[in-house]
Amino acid sequence: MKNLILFSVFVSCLSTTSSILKAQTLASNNTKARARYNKDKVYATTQRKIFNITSWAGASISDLLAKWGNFTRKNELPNGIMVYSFEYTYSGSGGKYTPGYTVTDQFGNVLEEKAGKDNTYSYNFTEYYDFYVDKNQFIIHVKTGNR
Amino acid sequence: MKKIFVTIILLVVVKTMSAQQSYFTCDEIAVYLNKGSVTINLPNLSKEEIKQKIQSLIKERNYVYKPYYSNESLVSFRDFARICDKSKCGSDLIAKTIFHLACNAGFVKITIDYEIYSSFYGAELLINDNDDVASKNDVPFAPYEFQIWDKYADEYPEAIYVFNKKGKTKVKNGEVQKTILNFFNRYITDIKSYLEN
Repeated sequence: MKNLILFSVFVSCLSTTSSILKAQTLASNNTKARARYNKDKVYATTQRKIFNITSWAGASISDLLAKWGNFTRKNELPNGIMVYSFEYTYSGSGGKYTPGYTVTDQFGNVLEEKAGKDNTYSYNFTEYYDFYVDKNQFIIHVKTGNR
Repeated sequence: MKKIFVTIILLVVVKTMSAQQSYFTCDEIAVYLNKGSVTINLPNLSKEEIKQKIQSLIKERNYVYKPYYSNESLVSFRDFARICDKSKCGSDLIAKTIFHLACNAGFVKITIDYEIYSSFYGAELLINDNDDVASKNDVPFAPYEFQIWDKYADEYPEAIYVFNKKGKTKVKNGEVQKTILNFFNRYITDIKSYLEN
C-alpha cells in the first residue's frame, strides 16, 4: 500500500514537471517569436521615416524649396551635380551637480561623508539633409543623418 | 572518327560547365561576387556601343537607371525583385540589387551592391527613387539574416546557417542558400548573354 502511494506521488510529480516544462517552452517560444516581431517592427518604423524624406528623389528641386524654404548651403560637385543642404543644429544641457561633504570632529576624525553626484549632460549635433540635383533640376539622390 | 566523337563530348562538357558557372559565393555574412567582380570581354565593341547596349538592357528588363552613381565610364542601374516565397524559403525574400558596369572599349567589369530583405509577416515592400525600402502600412520586415543563434532557428526558418553557444556554425537550410546563389547568378548570366549577342 505504501509503495502504491509512493508510486502515485512519483507519477504525479513527473506529470506536473512535464506540464511545467511544456508551459515554459511554450512561453519561451512565444517570447522568441515576439522578439522577432518587435525587432522587425522597429526596423519597419525606422525605415518609414527615412523613406518619407528620401522619397523627394525624383522630384524637382523647386518643389522641395517651395515646401522646405531656404536651404542652409549649396555646393557644386566637379561633375556638375548641385548639393542643396538643409541643416538643423540641436544643442542643450541639463541635469544637476550635487556636491559631496565630509563632517569631522575637532580631532579631524571623519564622522560622516558623502560623495558628490554629477548627473549633468550636454548635447550638440547637426541633423542634415543633402539633396543632389542634376542639370535638369531634378533630385537624383538624398542623404540624411547627423554630423 | 573516335577523335571527333571525343572532341564533341569534351565540347559539350565544357559548354555545360560554363553554363552552370557560379559567379557568387555565400557565407555566414553575405553573398559575394567571386574575386569581387566579373569581367565580360566584348572584343568587337567600342565603349559607346557597350554603353548603348547596357541602356537597352536596362529598358528591356525594366531596371532603373541610377544617374547618381553613373558617370562617363560607369553605368549603374537597380533591380528590386523577389528571390523566393515564404512557402519555399520560410519567409518572403526580396533583393535590392544595384549593378555597376564599368565600361571600356572591349570589356565591361561588373560589381554589385545589394540588400536582401526578409518579409516574414507578409509585408508588401516599396522602394523609392533613392533606393530606400519601406513596407505598406509599416508591416514588420527586416534585412535578411544569413545566420541565427540555434535557439532562434524556429523563428528564423529562412536563415541559412545556425550557430550554437560554442560558436560552431552549420548549414541549416542549404536549399535557401542554393536559391539565393541561383538568383544572383541568373543576373550575371543574363547580362553576359545580352551584351555578347
